Amino acid sequence: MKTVKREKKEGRKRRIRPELSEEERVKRFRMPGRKKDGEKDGEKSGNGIRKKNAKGRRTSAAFLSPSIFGVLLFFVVPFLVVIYYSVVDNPIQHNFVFLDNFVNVFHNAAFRQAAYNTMKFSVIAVPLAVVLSLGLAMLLDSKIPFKSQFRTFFLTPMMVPIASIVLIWQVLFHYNGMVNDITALFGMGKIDWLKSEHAQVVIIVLFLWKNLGYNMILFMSALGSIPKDILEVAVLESAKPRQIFFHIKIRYLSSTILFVTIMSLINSFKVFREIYLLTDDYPYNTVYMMQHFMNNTFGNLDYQKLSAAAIMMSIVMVIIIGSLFLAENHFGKDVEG
Amino acid sequence: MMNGRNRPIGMEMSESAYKRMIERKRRITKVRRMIATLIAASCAILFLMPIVLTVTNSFMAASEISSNYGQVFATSDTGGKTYISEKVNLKFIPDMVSFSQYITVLFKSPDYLFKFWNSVILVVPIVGFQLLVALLASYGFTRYRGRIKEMIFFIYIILMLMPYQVTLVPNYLVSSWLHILDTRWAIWLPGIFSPFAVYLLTKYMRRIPVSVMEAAQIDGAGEWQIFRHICMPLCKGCMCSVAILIFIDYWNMVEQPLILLSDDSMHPLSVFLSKIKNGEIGLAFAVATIYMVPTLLVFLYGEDYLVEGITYQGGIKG
Amino acid sequence: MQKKMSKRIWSMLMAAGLLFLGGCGNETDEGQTDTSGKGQDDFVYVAEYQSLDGICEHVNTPVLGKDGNVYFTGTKDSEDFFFSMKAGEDDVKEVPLELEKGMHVSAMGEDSEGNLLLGLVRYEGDPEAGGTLKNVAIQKMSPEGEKLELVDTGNAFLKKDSSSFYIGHVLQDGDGNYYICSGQDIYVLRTDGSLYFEISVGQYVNNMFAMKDGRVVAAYFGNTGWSLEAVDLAQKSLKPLESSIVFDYGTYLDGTDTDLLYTQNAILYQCDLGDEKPTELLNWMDSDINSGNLRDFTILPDGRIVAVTVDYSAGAETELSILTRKNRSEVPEKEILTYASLYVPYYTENDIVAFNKQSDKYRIEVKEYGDDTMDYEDRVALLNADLTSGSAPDIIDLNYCLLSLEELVSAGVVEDLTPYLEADGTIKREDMVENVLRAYEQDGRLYGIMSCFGIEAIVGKVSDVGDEASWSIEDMMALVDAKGRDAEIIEYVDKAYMLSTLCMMNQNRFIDPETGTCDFTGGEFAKLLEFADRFPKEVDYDANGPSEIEKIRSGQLLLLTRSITSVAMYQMFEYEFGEPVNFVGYPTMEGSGLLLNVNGTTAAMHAGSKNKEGVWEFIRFNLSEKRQENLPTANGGFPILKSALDKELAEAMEDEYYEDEDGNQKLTSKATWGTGDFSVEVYAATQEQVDRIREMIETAQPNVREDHKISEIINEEAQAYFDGQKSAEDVAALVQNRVQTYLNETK
Repeated sequence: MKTVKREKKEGRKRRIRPELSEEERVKRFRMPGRKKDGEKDGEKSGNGIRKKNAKGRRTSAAFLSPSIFGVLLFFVVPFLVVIYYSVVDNPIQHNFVFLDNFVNVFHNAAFRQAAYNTMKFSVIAVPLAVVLSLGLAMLLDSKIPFKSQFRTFFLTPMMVPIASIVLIWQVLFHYNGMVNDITALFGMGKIDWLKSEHAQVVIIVLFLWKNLGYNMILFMSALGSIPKDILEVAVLESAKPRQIFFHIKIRYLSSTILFVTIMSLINSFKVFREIYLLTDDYPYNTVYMMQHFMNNTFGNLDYQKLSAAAIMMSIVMVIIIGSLFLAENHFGKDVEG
Repeated sequence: MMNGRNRPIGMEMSESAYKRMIERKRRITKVRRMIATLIAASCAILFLMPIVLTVTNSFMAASEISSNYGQVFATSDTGGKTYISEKVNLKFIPDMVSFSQYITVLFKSPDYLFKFWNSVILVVPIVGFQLLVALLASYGFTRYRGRIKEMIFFIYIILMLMPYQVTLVPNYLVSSWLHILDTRWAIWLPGIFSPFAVYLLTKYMRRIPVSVMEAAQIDGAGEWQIFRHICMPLCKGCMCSVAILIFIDYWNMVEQPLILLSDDSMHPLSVFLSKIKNGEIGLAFAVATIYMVPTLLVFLYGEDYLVEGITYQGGIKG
Repeated sequence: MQKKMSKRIWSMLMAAGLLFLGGCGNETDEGQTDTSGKGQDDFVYVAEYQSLDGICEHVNTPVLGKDGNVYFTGTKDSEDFFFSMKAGEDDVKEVPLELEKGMHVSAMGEDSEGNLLLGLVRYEGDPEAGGTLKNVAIQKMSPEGEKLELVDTGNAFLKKDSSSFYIGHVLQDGDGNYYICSGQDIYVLRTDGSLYFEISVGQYVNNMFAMKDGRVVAAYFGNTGWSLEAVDLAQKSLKPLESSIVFDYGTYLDGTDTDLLYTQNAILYQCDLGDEKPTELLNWMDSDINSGNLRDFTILPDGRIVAVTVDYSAGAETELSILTRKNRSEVPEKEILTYASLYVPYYTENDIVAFNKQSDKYRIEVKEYGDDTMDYEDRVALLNADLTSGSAPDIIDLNYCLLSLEELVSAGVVEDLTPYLEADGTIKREDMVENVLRAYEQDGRLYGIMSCFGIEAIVGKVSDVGDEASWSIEDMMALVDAKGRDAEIIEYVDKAYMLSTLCMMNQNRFIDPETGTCDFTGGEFAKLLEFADRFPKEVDYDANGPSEIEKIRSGQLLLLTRSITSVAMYQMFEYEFGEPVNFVGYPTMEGSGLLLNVNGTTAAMHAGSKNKEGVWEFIRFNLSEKRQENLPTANGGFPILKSALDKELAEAMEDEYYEDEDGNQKLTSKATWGTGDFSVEVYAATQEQVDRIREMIETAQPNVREDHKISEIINEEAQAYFDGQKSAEDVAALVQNRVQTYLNETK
């Protein structure tokens, strides 16, 4: 009894990170002639290394240059142009209007609708995606047969090009389609899935179908990295499964949960392609998303409106990503101790 | 598994009662496992159904498809989708297995194969060169980390996460300035310089202990040698998974070619699939199936790499 | 492990197979795409023009000889003359024809030796109103103007129902057989003028010519497309020419060194029948020649190309153009203006060519976006892209850019023309018809001027539609009820078309552009749905069914939707309907439903153009008095310039006379109007008719551009109602939901 307790304590004290420890990493790469950290002492070779470092710094910058050049040209410069467009009246006359475009866009009913829908969708779909994929991961983590086959099955939707699958999706959710046939068995009335208040359900189902596998993999790897000894100790201490789950697993999973949330959030902003292919550029208003607004304004030549909307969306994205980034830093430290 | 030594002390229980408890626990575990398997199986069916349906439907003759759900894809004169009047009969198994769709797609109308080839031409260079550029950049980000590099890396992350619509206009404008609009370069170049692979590879490379590289440095290796002979071999697996992820992403693209390539003859198959018209639904399932095949093959071939790749993504910071 | 290996090998093999197949697809296509090579960009054909109009009153039947001479007939001091002149030189040789009284030259052609053949026709009485054909003859003349034999066809043509006989083409082959083409019939005559045989083609023959090898070829648009067929003397029929080249609609002639010389899509080609593909010689547009005006063209031995054109937009001006091939560098440069459009109608081509020709400072080049094989949306996207980028065009076709004025204005693409109009010395705002001018006006700014227009109206009997200027949907519904289900109200109208037309016409009822809101749920839309539901779901065109006029006269068809472009259409429709007609607008819930249709070049100035003065030059050129006055014949439509319109309307009321054999002035018809089924002689219009046309012009509204997105949404949703799947209210609610989103966005 006593020994066991001590072990547990030590386990806590060590606070093993979900990631690999330094030794393990090194072991994993099995590098020949590796030296222990302590041996790489700078003082021994002194100036030589420092000189080399300075040179290396320059060379490493050279390694970066093609990518930075490309990113500047195709991502950063264009983004600056968007900023410019967002403060002029139109791309031909270039009159400076400062924030007028932002005010216009902000007051635009379609923009508000799109922002509201996108937010609503994210608020519903993201937690669902996190919880369900965690569920699936736990399911596969329990010792069931055909584990790797199931993993393959759940991952497949991620691989299938959406354009391929959208055909069958249309057939399923059509007014006279199969889903309505099934609901009719339970005595429910016909629902025009894509053109009613239920339209978001279809989109959420499609979103989950496509993204659960990816999230599940992330959770599985995180579950796998929880130190076994801790779980065993917990079992020995006859902790209830619920306790194990909430007190140990969730705690170890916290950084993964955070990451899955971020990725799901971002993917939920990207759900447009699916909706667009399923419906049209002007779908039922509950599935009219931010990207519809942008795509359509692009089609209508309204660059200034589009740019303003894009900037606003980017700001929101940066805030979300930034705060989650900070949160991860914070939580990560907590786990690491 | 459990033995007496691990039996909780202080609990009064007879040997037989304990055995019963173990037995019950085992039974519960068994039942639980069965339920779990069942749940997993039914989930798997739901997950696979749309794919299986697409494949089975591709073996239907055109007449069968249009009689079953031709109306779903009927188009009006103005090009919009019209409404359906008849009942949709979704079938898992065709009345008569027919290869006529495949014969048409593969042999009779070269248009579809040509579009498939377009997809290949667009995607393969992007996968290759994005990897190359990213390998170099990740090495740059890994060595001699400093504040500026961290900031640049953070910008990369932000750029990576931006939805496509935000960069739509700028992309278009830059292409037009560079006079690459309506050429494949308009798709290739932004693809090649996309920050996604940089992010993933950097994350992986940073796990390589600094000591490994510094050791090589002390042994007199230059940066290029370290990169070529130490970093690259270590990253092989990661490169595979990154390649797969890039491939899926670009194989799936619809918007970019639509906007940047006005010439229909350069459009990939995904664009065709997204604009299916009434007369083409028969073929559509066959085309959709053919279009799925490469990604599924890549998946089967590199599932482990893919899983590994996804795993590396855990945690956004480097 | 083994399993994994086999999985991998299997997938590799599959991938290799797919790539191989993909590679095949690629090869087959590359063969197709590799055909667009043009290597003539360094050279350009520069044209010199020579007007023939001053020589005689009306240049008739111009023909180009292979020697570079142009031959034509015409009247001078009420005498008929035969003229010949060398292209590029000024002296004209004239020979009096001394024709029999009443005889006129109907056509001119050539024999195989370079002599000229004049097809002569004599009528007794008014040939346009039941006069009788009295004589048909062929006068042969040497190129020098010497009269050779006169072949009288005797009564070869006289026994026929000959009231509408004329000679379209006349030829003689090497064997001495004469060929006369009249409309849809080809007659072959022996050397003495007696009839050998005749061929009924069944289609209007566009041209007839003799090839190098002596075969006489007829070119026409047949049931299976464009046909080139040679007359087979043995079979007494036409036999298609064999060639691997696909010929399409165009002007076909015999070549100088080759079998054929022809113009197709404004490009001049030459080819031998055995060639795989024709040789492209030039684009007529580059030399400021409108290919639609070409009458004859030939290549001279020295390589120059000569063409005769007749331009109706300039008052049937006949002109000789001599094209010389020059290095591009030798040609003085003009400032280039780009004209952007998705489609260039013949009248715009006309205007551009005419403008280019007279301007020594500017030259307009057309940029057409996309082609017929592309989706309309993709083509608009192409144009859109250019409008807002650095490669912006200077001029935008407001009608064929398929973007609404609102879109263009909000994108800042179009320039306000008011300052240019105010600064202009000759053209004034008050000189133009006010409500036509307003069609492209927004918030007090003028973005385009519709140079020529028609009025879209519904034509119906006064007894059916009443004599009011407008009517309501209720009126129309009542008419449908009264006539019963068998009568077709408008030809080939189905549910979807009726609904979108009604919605378009009543857009302001459902959509408030001021607030950007819409209201489809108020019950009125449901009413339209119910009304549209009465029409057939699909209509098939019945080629063998009764003709339009038969259906109208028997009461099977009640109304026609037509664009009214002249006063003469009054007479035509009264004849077709068999009783007085009224032109009412589309049924609306309020106001007149008459719509202005663009029928002439309507250009807007791009705000980013570097050459705005040049663009205005072009706009004002189209508004010049001369071009405006010629619009009724050139475009078929009403001119915007008040003075030109007044002139047209006044002329419509004037009687026309002809001088009969005894020198008496007799009333004659002004023109013949009709469709494929019937034709009618048109006389002077009454004051009431002209007044009604004037009233129509003044009340017509700018054509509401059909908003494709809105009608697409409406159509899509309405199907569910038409199919009995959903109630009208449900459909209205769905339409309301989606259209509102659309409107919100564009605000």
